[in-house]
Amino acid sequence: MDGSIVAKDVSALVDDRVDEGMFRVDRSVYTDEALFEKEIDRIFEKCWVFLCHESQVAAHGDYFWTEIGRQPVYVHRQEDGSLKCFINACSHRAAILTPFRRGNAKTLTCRFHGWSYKCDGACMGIKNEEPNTDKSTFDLREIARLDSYGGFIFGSLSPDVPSLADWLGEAKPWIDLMVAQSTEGLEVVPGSSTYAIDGNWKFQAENAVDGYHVSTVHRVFANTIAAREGKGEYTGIKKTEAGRMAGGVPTGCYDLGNGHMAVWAQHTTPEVRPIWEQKERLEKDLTPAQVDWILTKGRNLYIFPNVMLMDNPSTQIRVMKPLSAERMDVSVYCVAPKGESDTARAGRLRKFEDFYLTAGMATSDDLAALEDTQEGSLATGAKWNEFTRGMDSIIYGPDKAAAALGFNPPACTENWDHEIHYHGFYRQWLKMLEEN
Amino acid sequence: MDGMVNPATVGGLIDDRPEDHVFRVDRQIYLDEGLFESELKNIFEADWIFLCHESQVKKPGDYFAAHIGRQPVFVHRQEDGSLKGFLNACSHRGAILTPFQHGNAKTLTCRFHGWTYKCDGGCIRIKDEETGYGDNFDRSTYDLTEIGGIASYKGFVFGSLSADVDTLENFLGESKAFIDFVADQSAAGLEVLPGSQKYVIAGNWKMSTENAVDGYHTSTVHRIFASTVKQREAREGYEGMMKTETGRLAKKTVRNGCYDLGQGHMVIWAERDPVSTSPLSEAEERLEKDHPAGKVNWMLRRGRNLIIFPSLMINDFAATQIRTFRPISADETEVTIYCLAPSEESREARYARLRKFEDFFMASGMATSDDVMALEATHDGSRGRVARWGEFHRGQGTMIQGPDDVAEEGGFVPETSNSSWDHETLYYSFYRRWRDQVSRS
Repeated sequence: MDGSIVAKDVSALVDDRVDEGMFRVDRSVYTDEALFEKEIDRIFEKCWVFLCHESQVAAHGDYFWTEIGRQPVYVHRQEDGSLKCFINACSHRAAILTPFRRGNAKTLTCRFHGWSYKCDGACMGIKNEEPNTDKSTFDLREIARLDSYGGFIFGSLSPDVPSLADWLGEAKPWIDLMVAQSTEGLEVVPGSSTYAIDGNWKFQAENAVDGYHVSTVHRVFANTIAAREGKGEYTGIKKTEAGRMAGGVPTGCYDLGNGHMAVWAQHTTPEVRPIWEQKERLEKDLTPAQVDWILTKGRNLYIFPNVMLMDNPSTQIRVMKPLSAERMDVSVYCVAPKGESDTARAGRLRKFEDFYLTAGMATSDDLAALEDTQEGSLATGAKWNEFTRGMDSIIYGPDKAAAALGFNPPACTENWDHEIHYHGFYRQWLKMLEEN
Repeated sequence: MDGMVNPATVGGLIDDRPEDHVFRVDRQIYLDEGLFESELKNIFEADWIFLCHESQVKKPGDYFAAHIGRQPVFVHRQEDGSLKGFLNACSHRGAILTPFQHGNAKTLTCRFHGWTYKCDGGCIRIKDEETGYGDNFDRSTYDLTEIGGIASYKGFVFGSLSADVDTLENFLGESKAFIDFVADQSAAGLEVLPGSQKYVIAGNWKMSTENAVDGYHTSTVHRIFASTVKQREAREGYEGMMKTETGRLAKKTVRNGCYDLGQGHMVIWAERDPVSTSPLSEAEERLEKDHPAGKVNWMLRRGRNLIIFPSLMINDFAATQIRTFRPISADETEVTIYCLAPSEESREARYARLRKFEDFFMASGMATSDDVMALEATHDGSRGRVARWGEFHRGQGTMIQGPDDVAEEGGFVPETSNSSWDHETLYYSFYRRWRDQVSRS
C-alpha cells in the first residue's frame, strides 16, 4: 500500500490504553510504504544500529560491509587497533568500495575509476590526478558514532544519540550472559546465511521474542527431532532439548526499555547444551544467578531496532535489514565461546543448522508464518493486531528471576506466551517516529 | 510511473466525443501508479468481484481463497449449504488462515499461534486462553470479519468488501443473458474442471480486459495458431469434435459482432464454422427441446467472449473458460484460468474440450502465449509518452444504439451493437464507468 498513512496522525496507529485493558496496533504499520520511509529516516538513521562483531574485524585491515537502514557502511580495523566506520561510497562516483562483504585490505581502491583510500579513510590516490588537487577534500565520510559493548559493534548515522551503554540499558546484563561464556570472549564462527523475507521488518522483531508461536509453528520441529533422536543416533550434547517447545516449563517475557525485549524458557535437559562442559568454570567465576541463567534458561534477546541474540538450542546473532514495507533481508551467524571443545562446537553447529538455517527444520516454518501474516495484513477490514495476552499479569519492575540476576525491566510477566513486552517496542517505535 | 496523475483530473484521460468521431484514452491510464491505487480503492474494493464457481465449493467445509483487489478473502461453504465470505486474516496476528488455495476444512486453525475458527467464522479456540486473558474475556470479539456481501448468479460467486453495493443481478445487468448461454448448457449445471493455471503478465490489467473482447487482433496474433492447427489436423486426421474450428480465425465469411452491454460489461461473438466441432454439438437435440430457438443459436452456434466489469472473462469459443485478471501493480497482472464444462457431457466431448482448452488457452499452448507477447509489447510501447493516445474509434460508422437482429433473438438489450467483432465501440461504457469510479476521491 502506498502512502495512505502519510497524512494521518501516526499516533492513531498505536492504540495504547493498557489501563483499559487494550493495546493494539493498526496492521497498516506493516504495509504502508510512506510510513516505511519515515521509519528509515526517523528510526534506522537516528539510532544505534548493530553492525558486526569484533571477531569479524579482528586484524588490522579487516573490513565488514553492512547497512544502517538503507545506507551502506563499512567497519575498518585501524593500524592502532581502533575501529572506524565509513559510508561505503567512493568520493568520486559513489561506487561501493569494499570488494567483498568482508575481507582484509590495508587500502581500498575503487573498481570504477581507480581512486584509492587508506584504512583511515584518507584519499591517497586519484587516477591521472590534476595538479594542485587537494586530495583531502575527497577523504571518506565517517559515520557519526561508533562504539562496542562486549564485542558487539554498533554505529549511528546521527551524532545525537545517548552513549551506547545508556542506550543498551537493561539489555546489557543479557549481553553479559553471552560474553561470560568464555574467558577469551566470543567469536563468530565462519559462514553465514542471508535470506529475504516477503514481510515487514517488525514481524521479525516480534517473532524473535514470540514464545506463543513456538508450540504451534515449531511443533513440527520438535516432533521431527524426537523421531530422529528416538532412533538412538543422538546422545549427549548432540541431543536437541525440545522439552520447552511443548510447554509446561517456567518461562518469562521482558520489556527491557528503549524498545528492547527478551523472552526465556527453562531448559528441561540443560546437560545437552554445549555450554554444560564449562559448568565448573562458570560456577567458579560467576554469581549463582548468572550461572543459572546461562546454563538453564534459553534466551532470545531483541535489541532495537535490528539485531537479535539467541541462546536457545544454539547461539546466534541475527541481523535484519529493512528493504521496503513488505520485504527485509535477514542474516544469521553462529556465535560461540572461544576455546570450547571440539565436541561442544560440533554440537553447537549441528543445532544451529537444525533450527536457525533456512535449510533447517524450524526457520522455514517461521518464514511461512511471517509471509502469511504480511499478506493477511492487506485485509484492511480486519484492522487491528492486539497485544493483550497477559495484560492481567503485568509486573512493573523485576520478577524474581530478573531480581536474582539484577536487571530492572520496566514491565514483565512470568510467561513467554504473553505479549506485554511488545508494548515497550511499539512505544519506542512511536516515540521515534513522532519526535525525530 | 509514480502517481503523476491526480485521480480527480482523470476525466481528461478519456477523450469521449463520439459525436466528433473521437473516442480515445490516454495511455497513461496503463502506467500510472497513483491511478492504480484509485482503481483498487474505487473499483476492485468497491464493486462485486468474481471469487469462484459454486462447483469449487460444493460440500460443507469446502473453502476457496481469492482476492478482492489487494485484500485476501475466502469463501466457505456452510453446514446449511449457504456460502459465507471472510477476510482471510487471523484475528490475532493477521496470518492467512487457509492452508491451501482451496480445500475442505470444517474448522480452520491458524498455523502461527493455533487459533481456531468454525466454518461460520466463530472463534472457537484460543491456544492457552486461560493463561492469557482475564475473567471477562469474550472470545466472540475475535470472530472473523465477514466481507460486505456475497451472492451468486447461476453458480458464479461474487463478493464485495463494501456492504453498500447494488444487488448482484442489477450489477450484472445485460451480461446475465450471456452467463445464461453458458450456465444453461446442462440441466445439471456447470463444473470447473480440476486444475488451473496462473501466470503473470508484465502489463496493465485493462489491456487483458480489452484483449478478452478484441476480435480485431485474432487474424493477426492467432494466424499462427490457425495455420499450425490446420496442418496438424490434416496430418493426424482429426475429425468431428476433435477438430478445432478455425474458420473464424482465418476468413471473413462468418458473421460476427460486438456489444457494449452497458455498465462496463462487453461481449464479442462469431458464428461457429462448422458447429459440429463444438463439444456441445452432441447436445443439440436436447437444447432444441428445452430452450427457444434464438437462445440455442446463441448457446450452440455462436462462439462468445464475455467481460464482466472489471476483470472476469467467461469464454465459450474453442473451449469454455473462466479467466480472471488480478491487478498486482500498474505494470503487472496475475491471470488465472479454469476450464469450465457442462456437468453432463460424454467422455468424447469432455476430452475434446480439454484438448482445445490446452491448445488455445493455456500459457503453454499455442495462442495465449502470443496474446501475452502482444500485451507486454503494448504495455512497453505505452511508455512512449509523445504518442499519447490509444484510439477506439473503429466501427463508429456502423454502431447502432440498442439491439441488432441477433440480440433480439437472444433477448438481451445492449447499449450499442456493432456488425463486426473487429470494431471497438464496445469499450465505451467500460471506459466511462472506469473514468467515473476512478475519479472518486
